[in-house]
Amino acid sequence: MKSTSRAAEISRAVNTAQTSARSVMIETLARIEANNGRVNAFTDILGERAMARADRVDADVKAGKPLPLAGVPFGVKNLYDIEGLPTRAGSRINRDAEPARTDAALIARLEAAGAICVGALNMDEFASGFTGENAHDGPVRNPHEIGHMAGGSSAGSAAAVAAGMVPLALGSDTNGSIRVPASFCGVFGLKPTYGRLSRRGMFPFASSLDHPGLVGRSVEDLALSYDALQGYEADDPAMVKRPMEAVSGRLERGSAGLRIAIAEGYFGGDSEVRAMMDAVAEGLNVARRITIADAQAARAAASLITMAEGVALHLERLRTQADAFDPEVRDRLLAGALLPAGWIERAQKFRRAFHGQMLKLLETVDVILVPAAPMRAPRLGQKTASFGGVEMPIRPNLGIFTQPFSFVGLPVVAAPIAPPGDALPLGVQAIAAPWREDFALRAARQLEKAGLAQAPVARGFAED
Amino acid sequence: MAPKLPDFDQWIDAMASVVGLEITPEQRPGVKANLKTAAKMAAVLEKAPVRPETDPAPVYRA
Repeated sequence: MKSTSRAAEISRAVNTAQTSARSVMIETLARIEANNGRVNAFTDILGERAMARADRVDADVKAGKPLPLAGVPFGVKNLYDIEGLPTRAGSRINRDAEPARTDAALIARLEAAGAICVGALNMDEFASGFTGENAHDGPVRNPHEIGHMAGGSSAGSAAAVAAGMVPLALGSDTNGSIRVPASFCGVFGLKPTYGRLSRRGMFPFASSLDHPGLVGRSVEDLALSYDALQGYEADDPAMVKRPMEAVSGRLERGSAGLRIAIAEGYFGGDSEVRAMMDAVAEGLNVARRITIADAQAARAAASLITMAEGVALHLERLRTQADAFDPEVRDRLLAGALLPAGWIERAQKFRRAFHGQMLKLLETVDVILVPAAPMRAPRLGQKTASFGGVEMPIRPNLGIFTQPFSFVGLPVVAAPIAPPGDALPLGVQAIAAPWREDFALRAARQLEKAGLAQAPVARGFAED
Repeated sequence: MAPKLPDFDQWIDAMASVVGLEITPEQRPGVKANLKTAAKMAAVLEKAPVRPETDPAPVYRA
């Protein structure tokens, strides 16, 4: 049993008394202590609390209580409430907020399944950004190449998992904030359907786009955790009351019987990205190619709505303490306050139309595959890059492939595709119809079985 | 609806006072850059097919 084991392996070992949650936790905390300085993923470490919970898990296992995630350590993006800590959401401003009185709903759900929260993770300020460069806590570094971006905004979540400090982490995704860092750091990410998981106890960004989700190092781990996270909570108005739809038992069907297509056109990408998609097509034996009309407009509309909803949340703070914001985030929020209402209303009308269009398309195909990010992780501090041969600013453009789908709430799995040689990872998105997380996970599992998708601990962090 | 080449300084001055924000000289270049991006997005959206009578979707069920 290694501290870099996957969640399912840890849970099996704890449940069968091959190891104890206490011993897993001691190793995990030592590993975080030894490695966090290199990647800057954790902002808070809950050693005492985690050890106390580990003892409780060991007692429960001894008493014969079934725990699907027994002793599995996990971290949470620091916009999730953790009892006793101010929920900083990557900001300086929130550091003075009152400490949270209870844990966020999803932390409580994972812990009820036997998992153990070990700390809070660094992120882009107020979840507004794709780079993981935080002006207050310092940038999260990519464990595969520490001079490069981890991607954001769930930067610490992806980096902590890629560095093998924890097998699982909770994140959130408004425009791609799980899928972009998952792609940059080479880990699996799941952004379930809008309304599937509870947002109670999460600091918001753009409410009509905010999705909770998670990252891990295997599809099995995503599925196990996702099953533990499901369940209705009354305190999130976006949540839909649905029965539990467990996916863990369905993974091994892989892509059998699934109609899969690769979307091209807008989602074409540069030559490296195209080569990855060709490998995916070959590995899954997918011949069907489709185009998604109006994807560019969907991305544009998502951006405008995000600007408007984001500033509605922060306007008062911008009036009174603008200097306390990360300047990059501040200026985008300020611009959001100045937009004509007609643009936003048009974006919302288009959203209805695009939603209908996607549902219709998803009657003819079960899983759509597109790249997760337009490039490998750029260097920290890099401001511009080539997008299809045109030099463009990086910050606003890393979400071009992710935004059209979160815009209409579709479930998506991001799967890391092993790069050739020493190159940094790339990722592919598997997108399904609303509530069909199982389809997206099965396609990702097939990629994993074919040896195409894999999430090893980053080389400099692997154990012998 | 989407202006082709708006005067961003004029836009900032007019709207900021309406919403009670003061845009400082330090903030102005960043705000301008973001408004420029937003204007491009609005222009893309302007060309997308939207029937005026369509219900908007600020709260929706996936």
